[in-house]
Amino acid sequence: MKIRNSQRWISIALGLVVVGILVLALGGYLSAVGDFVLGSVLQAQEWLTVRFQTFQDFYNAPTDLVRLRQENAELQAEVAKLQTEVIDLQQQVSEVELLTALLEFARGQRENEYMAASVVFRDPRPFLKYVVIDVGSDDGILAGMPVVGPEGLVGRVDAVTANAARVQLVTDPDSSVNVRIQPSDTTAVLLGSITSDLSLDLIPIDATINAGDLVLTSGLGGNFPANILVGQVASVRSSATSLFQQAAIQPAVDLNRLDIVLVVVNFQPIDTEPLIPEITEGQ
Amino acid sequence: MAGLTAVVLITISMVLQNSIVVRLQMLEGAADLVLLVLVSWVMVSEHKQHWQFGLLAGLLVGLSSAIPWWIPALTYAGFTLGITLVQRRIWQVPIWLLLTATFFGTILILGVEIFYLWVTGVPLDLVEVFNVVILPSVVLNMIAVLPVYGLVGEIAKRSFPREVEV
Repeated sequence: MKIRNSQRWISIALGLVVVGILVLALGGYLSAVGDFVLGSVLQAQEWLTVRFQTFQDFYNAPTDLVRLRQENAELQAEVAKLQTEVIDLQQQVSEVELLTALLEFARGQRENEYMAASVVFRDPRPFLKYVVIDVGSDDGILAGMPVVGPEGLVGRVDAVTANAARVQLVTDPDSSVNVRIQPSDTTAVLLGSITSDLSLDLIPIDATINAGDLVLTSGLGGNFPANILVGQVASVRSSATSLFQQAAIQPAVDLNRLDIVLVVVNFQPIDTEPLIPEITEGQ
Repeated sequence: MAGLTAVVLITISMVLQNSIVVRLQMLEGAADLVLLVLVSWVMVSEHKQHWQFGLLAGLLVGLSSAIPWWIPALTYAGFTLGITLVQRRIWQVPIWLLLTATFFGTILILGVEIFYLWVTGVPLDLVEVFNVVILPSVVLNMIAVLPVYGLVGEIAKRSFPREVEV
């Protein structure tokens, strides 16, 4: 009975101590003690955690290294793949830009029907300015059809196979195109050369030609449709003794960087040779 | 095996010529990779009928060019026959023969083409042709022939190792 009473008093005393501590804590009188205790515990925990992590890292390091190397290799492969995709996309962007320019050109020349073709390769001989394109007679391409680029005239189809066609560029030394100079509306003949330079010949001596004038196809001779831009007059040469003026031309199309061209498929060249009278000896 | 290697080499050189080399111009001249491979092959190969490879190379050039196919076929075959005959007499100095053959081969092949174009009425200024086409082409060929010779020699060595007398 006596023992029970003493335990009760101990319990009451402990309860009063706990209540007192709670009252003191709620009153803010124990914050310094709490901070000290919590800080010590946290420091001890941190010390222990760091040591444990170090041990764990040391223990797991070989497997992590292998895993990291694998991840690194995978990421490098991913980067390489993405770089390839970026290059592909850049190529597609440049192709789209080129095709947009070609489309705009085609919209500007509504009377013509076009077929796009890629340039496969250039003529390997240095004297000849020809390119080979990837459309041929199977696609409806015929010899003599004009070929244009985004900015203007490129040349004409010279020979055709089933799947390819050879195009004689306007810069070929054997090429001649009848043209018209604007705004003076003077006719002339556009000639190619071994150096890929374009020049105009047979310009009447009394015609007024200035640098910057536009050169367009005239349609005369029946080899090309009229009003296709060829380039601009760069300089004019004339002398008092010559019958005609000559001019150097800056071509509208960069013929050294041809990638995609348009073949004018609804134009049939006219063969005027039977109309030219034969000159026989004695005449 | 040697013949097959030569055919493959010539075909590859033709493709490279049309797609890459022809775009690497000095003025209007360009190296002739087919000619260089042909000359190098004659120097390193023990095959006796080199003119056949010359004919093949000429036909390939003729088929991919606007020039009539028989002109390069005849010039390449004739040129190969010529250097084969010369090689049998001065075989001790292959590098000298290599450079001489490249020099005269370039001039011969371009000269025949100029003659054809002149006959067919294409207007050509011969001085301009010499300055902007022939001279740069000769220079490029002379520069490129030694690396091509080294490469072709290495391929030939691996394709048909020479017999060693013991």
